[in-house]
Amino acid sequence: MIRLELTSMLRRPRTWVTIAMLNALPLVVAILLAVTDLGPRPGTGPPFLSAVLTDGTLFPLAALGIVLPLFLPVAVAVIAGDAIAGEAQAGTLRYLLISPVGRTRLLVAKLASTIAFVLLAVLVVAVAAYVEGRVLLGSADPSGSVTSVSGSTLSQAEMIQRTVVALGYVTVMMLGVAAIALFFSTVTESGVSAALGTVAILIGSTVLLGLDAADVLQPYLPTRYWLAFVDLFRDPIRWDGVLRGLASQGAYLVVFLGAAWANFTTKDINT
Amino acid sequence: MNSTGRWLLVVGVAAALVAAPIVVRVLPASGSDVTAAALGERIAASSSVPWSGEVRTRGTLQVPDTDSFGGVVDLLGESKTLRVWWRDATHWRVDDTRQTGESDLVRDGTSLTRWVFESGTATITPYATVRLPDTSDVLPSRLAARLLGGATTDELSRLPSRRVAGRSAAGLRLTPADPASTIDRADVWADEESGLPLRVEVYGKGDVLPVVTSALTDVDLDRPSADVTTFEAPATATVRRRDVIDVAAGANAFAPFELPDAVAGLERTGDEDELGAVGVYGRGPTALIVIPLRRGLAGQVRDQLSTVASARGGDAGTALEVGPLSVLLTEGGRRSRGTFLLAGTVTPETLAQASTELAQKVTSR
Repeated sequence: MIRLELTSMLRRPRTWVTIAMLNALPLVVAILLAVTDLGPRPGTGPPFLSAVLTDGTLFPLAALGIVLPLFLPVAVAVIAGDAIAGEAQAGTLRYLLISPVGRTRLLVAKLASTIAFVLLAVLVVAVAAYVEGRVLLGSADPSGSVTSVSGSTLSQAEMIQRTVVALGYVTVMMLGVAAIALFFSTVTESGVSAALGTVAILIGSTVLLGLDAADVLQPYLPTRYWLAFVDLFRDPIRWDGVLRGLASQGAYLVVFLGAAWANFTTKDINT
Repeated sequence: MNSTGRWLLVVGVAAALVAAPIVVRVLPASGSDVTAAALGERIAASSSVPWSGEVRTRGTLQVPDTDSFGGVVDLLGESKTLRVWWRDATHWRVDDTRQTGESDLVRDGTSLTRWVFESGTATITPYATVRLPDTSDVLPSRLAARLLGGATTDELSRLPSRRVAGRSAAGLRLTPADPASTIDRADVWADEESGLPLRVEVYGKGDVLPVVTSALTDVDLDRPSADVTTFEAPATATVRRRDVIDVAAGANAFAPFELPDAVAGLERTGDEDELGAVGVYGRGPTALIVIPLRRGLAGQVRDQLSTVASARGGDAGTALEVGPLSVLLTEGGRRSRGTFLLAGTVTPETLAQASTELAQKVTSR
C-alpha cells in the first residue's frame, strides 16, 4: 500500500510542479543577492541570508530558512489535505476501501507518502540551493571549512554532518503539519478546505509566537521550534530547541493522527 | 473499540501531553527559613560561583533609538535569549541568540571580543567597567549584584520560594528607601544552595508588570571549560581592533572633564583607576550615569529626542521619561563646559538638580 502511494505521488505532475515552485523563491533571492550584494541587517530576514554573501555554500540552509516558514508547510498542507478528501471528492475512496485495505493502513500510507514528498522537496531545495550558492555567490574558503554561527570553524565533514541532520530535522518539523492536514482531510470531502484549515492553524500559531502575552502558550505552538535547525550550527550545538522541536512534532503527530484514525475508521464512506 | 472509545483515547493522550510540562513546572519549591539579610549576603557571595545556562530577558521600555545607544535600547525594550558560560568574573561568554544568527560577547581576562555572525565581524577591545550596558549586565547574577549593591537591611524583605530553572529559589525583595528612586521594588530569586540569582524582576513606581525581567530557564553549576570562553577568529572573519568598547568608554577615557564626587546627593561610584570623564552616581536602583557627548553625537541624540512626543525642553535641557528611566540632555551652549547626557532610575527633579550641580562643579583636565 505504501509503495503504491509513493509511486502514485512520484508520478503526479502536481508533485514536481510544487517542488519547482518551492525552488523558485530561493533562486530569485540568490539572483538578487548576487546582483545587489545587499544582505539583511543582523536580526532581520531569514537565517543565514546575510552570511551567504561571504560564503555561498551556506545557501542551502538559507534556502530552507526561506521556504520553511510558509511555502513548505503550505505545500505539505495541500498534499496531505488532499490525501483522503481528494479521493472522496474524486469518488475513488469507496472503491479504494473495497479492496482488502484497512482504513488505518490507508491513513499510514497517505502519511508516509506525504513525508516522502517533504523529504524529496527538502533535498531538491538543498541541492538546487547549493548549486545556486556556488555559482552565484561563491565559496569563501577553498578548504571547504565554514564559520559556525558562534564564530568557530567547522570542517567540511562537520558541516556535511550538521547539514544532513538539519535536513532531517526540517522534514520532521513537517510531521505535525501533515498530521493536522490529514485529520482535516478525514473531516471534509474538499482537499482545499482541509489545506486551508491547516494553514489557518499555522498562521494562528505564527501570530501567537510574536505576542509576548501568549508566552505561556508558545511551547505548545506547532511552529515554535521550526527554525531551531539554526541551533545545529552554533558551537556548542544548542540541543535544547532541537529536542523540544522533535518532541513537539511527535506530540502533534500522535494527537492528530490519532484524531484522524478515530474519525476515519468509524466514518460512513458514501463516495 | 467503538467511536466514543477511540475519541476518548485521543483526548486522553492529548491531555496527558499538554499536562506533562505543566506538572513539571508547578512542582512546589522547598521552603527556606533564611533571613532577608542572610539571603542578601549569600547572593553577594555568589559572584564567584561558576555556571552555564540559558537566560531569557524581557524589557518593556520603548526608549528612542539612536545609532550609538542602540544596544541599550534593545536591552530595555526587547526580549532576548542568552546562552551563558561563566567561569569567573573575568572569563565568560554571553551569546545573544537569534533565529537569524547570534551576537556574542567573550571576555578573556582584560580583552573583550564582540562577534556578530551576520556581518562576520569580530571586534576586539580592552575590557572596561565604565561603558554602556550590554547583554552581560542583564544576566540575573549581574543585575541582582547591581541592584542589591549597598542595600540596607531595612530595604530587604523575604518573598516565598519558587522553582526557577528546575531549582528551588529563595525570594528576596528590595524596596528602595531613597525618595529619589523611580524603582518601586526589585524581586530576586536565588538558588538556595549556591546563592546564585536565578530570576530578577524590576518594577517601576505604580507598575503592575515588571519593566525588566531576567530569568534562567536552564542552569548548570559546573565550571564551564576554558575553551568555550575563548574566542579564536575564523579565517573568513573581519577582525577589528578598537581602543574603546563604546561611546561611554571612549568619553570616559578621552573627554577633557573632571566630574564632581557627588551630584544631587548621590555619591560617585566605580574603581579608582577607571574614574574618567563618565560618572556613575548612587547605589543599587537609585543611580544615574553622566556621559559627556561630542558635538556631533549630541546633535544626533537631540534630533532623536525631538521626534519623541513626550520629550520636553526646559532650562536644564531636553528631558524625557520612559517608565522609571529618566533622561536629560543638557543644552551645551557656547558658555557651558560641554553637553552631557544624564540617565538613570531617578526622578526628573533629581536629574535636573544633578545637571545644575554639574554645570557648577565640572572642571577641565
